[in-house]
Amino acid sequence: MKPAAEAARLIAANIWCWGCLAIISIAALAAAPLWLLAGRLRGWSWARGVREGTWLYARLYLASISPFVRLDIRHAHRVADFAPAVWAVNHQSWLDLYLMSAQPVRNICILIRAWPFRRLFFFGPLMRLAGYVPTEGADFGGILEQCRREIADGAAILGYPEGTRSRDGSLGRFHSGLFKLAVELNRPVIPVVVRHSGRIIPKGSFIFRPGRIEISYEAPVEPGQFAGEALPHGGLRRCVRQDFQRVLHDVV
Amino acid sequence: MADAIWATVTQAMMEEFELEPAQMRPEARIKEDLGLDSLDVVDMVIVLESAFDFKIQDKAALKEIVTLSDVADFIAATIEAERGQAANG
Repeated sequence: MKPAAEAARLIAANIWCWGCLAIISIAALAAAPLWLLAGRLRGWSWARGVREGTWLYARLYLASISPFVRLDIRHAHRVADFAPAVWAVNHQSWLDLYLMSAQPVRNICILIRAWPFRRLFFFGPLMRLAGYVPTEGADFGGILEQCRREIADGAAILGYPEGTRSRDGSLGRFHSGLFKLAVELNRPVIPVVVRHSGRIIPKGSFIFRPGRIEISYEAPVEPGQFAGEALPHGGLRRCVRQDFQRVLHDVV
Repeated sequence: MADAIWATVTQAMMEEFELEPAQMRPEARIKEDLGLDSLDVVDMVIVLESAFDFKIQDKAALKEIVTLSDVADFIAATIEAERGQAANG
């Protein structure tokens, strides 16, 4: 593509992707009270209503930016086949939060660091209402109890084991918390491998670059197979990380 | 003995927490420089107990540990104390 055409496409992509984000976000906020009330009439909790709405909002946004951001989704059926499960997702961009709607399960409980609850404009209160779990500085026993209730309610537990977004797309060190939860809950871990979201809009950048994101839902890893180890969650963590490394290196 | 303890500590830390050899500096702080969280620190104790084949009794003293060097010193002191106990009784 010629430089002028490439620049025009880049400008168009940014106007479109940011414009869609603004319009869909405002529309979602305006519709939220009615949506939540309708959910209550259907017997949903407030948290369930927010989660269902968030999934739909994210799905609409992904569909709206599809002229510039294409998605290549593999094995999404696994999240429903093995529900409720713990999803381990690698993290490169804020867009990753929207990518959670690229699969059919809507009742998702996200484990998030504490700062988004405080600093993100209207997302903070919504995340609280959705029952997402702040993990930073929190007591593990409390997190476990909340996740146990979520699993009993059929929710998927989604966490980012790297703890933060990667700046260069490389896979960071995995923290143990998510895997310790999976062991305690005795639920499988589904590695959700995301490639190239950091190329579309990397950490610290406000410029969308058109391209393709690949999401692969890998085979679930059962925590029971590490029961004989001194630290079962350590074995589970290493196994899941190897899956990420394999997929990130194999897929072109 | 100090060298052997250092080698075992760093090997165990690298294997369990996917750390790089370049990060294994005596002055490296466990939380700030190596990125271990509170759950990792609990795991670290179990890993070290397994690596040195003993039970750490003085869990309260672990709170004073800041750097990798502190870990090696703590292990050396624990081994020394165990030997003293064995010699006395």
